[in-house]
Amino acid sequence: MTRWSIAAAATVGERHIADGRPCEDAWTVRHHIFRGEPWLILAVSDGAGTAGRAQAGSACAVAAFADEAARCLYSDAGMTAERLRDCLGAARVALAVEAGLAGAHIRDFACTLLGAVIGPGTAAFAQIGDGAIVVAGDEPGSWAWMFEPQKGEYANETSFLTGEDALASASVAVLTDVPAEIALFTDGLENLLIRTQPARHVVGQFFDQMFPPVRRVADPGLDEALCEHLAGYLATPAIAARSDDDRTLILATCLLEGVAPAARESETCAIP
Amino acid sequence: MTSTALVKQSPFIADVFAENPEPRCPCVLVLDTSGSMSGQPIDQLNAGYQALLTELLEDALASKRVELAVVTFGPVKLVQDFDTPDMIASSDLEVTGDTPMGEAIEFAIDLVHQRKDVYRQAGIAYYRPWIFVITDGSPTDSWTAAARAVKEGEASNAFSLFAVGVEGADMKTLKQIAVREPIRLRGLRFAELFRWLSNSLKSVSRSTTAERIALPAPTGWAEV
Repeated sequence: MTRWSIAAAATVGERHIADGRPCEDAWTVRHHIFRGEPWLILAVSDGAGTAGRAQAGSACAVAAFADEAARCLYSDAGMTAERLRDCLGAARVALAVEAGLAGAHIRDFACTLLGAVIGPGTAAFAQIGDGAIVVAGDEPGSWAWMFEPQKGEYANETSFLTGEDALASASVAVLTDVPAEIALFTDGLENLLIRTQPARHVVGQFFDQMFPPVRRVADPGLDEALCEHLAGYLATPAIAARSDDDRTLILATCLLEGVAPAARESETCAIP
Repeated sequence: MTSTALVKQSPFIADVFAENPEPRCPCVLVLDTSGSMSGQPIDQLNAGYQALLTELLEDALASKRVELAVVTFGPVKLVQDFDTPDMIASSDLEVTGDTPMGEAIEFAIDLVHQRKDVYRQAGIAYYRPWIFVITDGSPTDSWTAAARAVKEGEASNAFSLFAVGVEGADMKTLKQIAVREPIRLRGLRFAELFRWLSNSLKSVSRSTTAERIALPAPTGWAEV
């Protein structure tokens, strides 16, 4: 049986502070046991700057996605691409309901949505919009995104869960090999974590440096102390200098019972 | 395009983008330096341009993201190829010949397309380019091709073109060239105009996904 150790945090962007806006990113981490098997559900969302209710949108999207994923797993163990799309659909419906209740338009709740549903022999990933889901490869230090961040021609264009064709444009993948480590992050960190030379790729070094503290945690689950440290780290001036947008990061590492954390770890968390 | 030597952008780009992989916010200033601009107007224009560079430099993100190019007319000349403010050596613009505005705008559009190719090759993200035209006269060349290119470019979201008329400018023609309503500069308030441009570029260069940019109102420099 595998168990996951997790750190997660969202930091309000300096530009949001200057504009008097709150942090409009949201994240959720859920653990469930269904039929004796552990499942992990992760989601992050970035509320669109133009949307009047971006904060409510992102919070609602991650919660609705996780709720629907849990419901699917509860009723019929397993996660397929089709069910994952249903989870995205449920999140979109939840936004429409929120909009209806508020007498607003669904686009006022515009947000991205990146989700992962991990269980025995299943690693299911879904993404609408930018940001990225990064997974560890078989080789130590090899990292790759599941899907290229969805971008329009211009840097400030992406697709949203609230878009007409959101579900059609969603990226969905289900793996039977479960990666040992998974990270999800929002657009605010893209500038630091994605390099463009020679081709677009994720900065593996960053994850090499960020995961060791998560690997060292003895008990599985969301580690509160680690979350606080992560939030503090995401707010450091060195990171803020590269991005003044909201920044969200989830780091999940699989603790194999009876296996000591990797010895190759370095202690530092530094900007690549 | 007439006999103006089109300066091709350098094919050597990798180093710059490896060092500074920030998304780019390109802006071409298309500046009228015809004879009628001599004296106060050109002095104010130069001062405004310097202030723009200084203000962008003082902004940590904008200094790495905004790329300025300067095209003067006439004759049409690439005075400054696209670069971030920290790489631009300030130089005073001088008053020269007539007002081939049509050619200058077509040149600027070409420049923008070339720059996008460079970004794409380097894998650099970018924002919608701006073309910012300032003139105090009437085009002395044929501008119909330029007007057509502007319409196409605006319609396909390829760039945004803003036109500012200094006193004496042929606003009627300007209106036929630009899709957006041209703005008439109040007096010689170049300082305020460039401050607005600097603030606007700062906003654009840090906008994140699908933020519709609320540009500051052109108060203080635009004639209503």
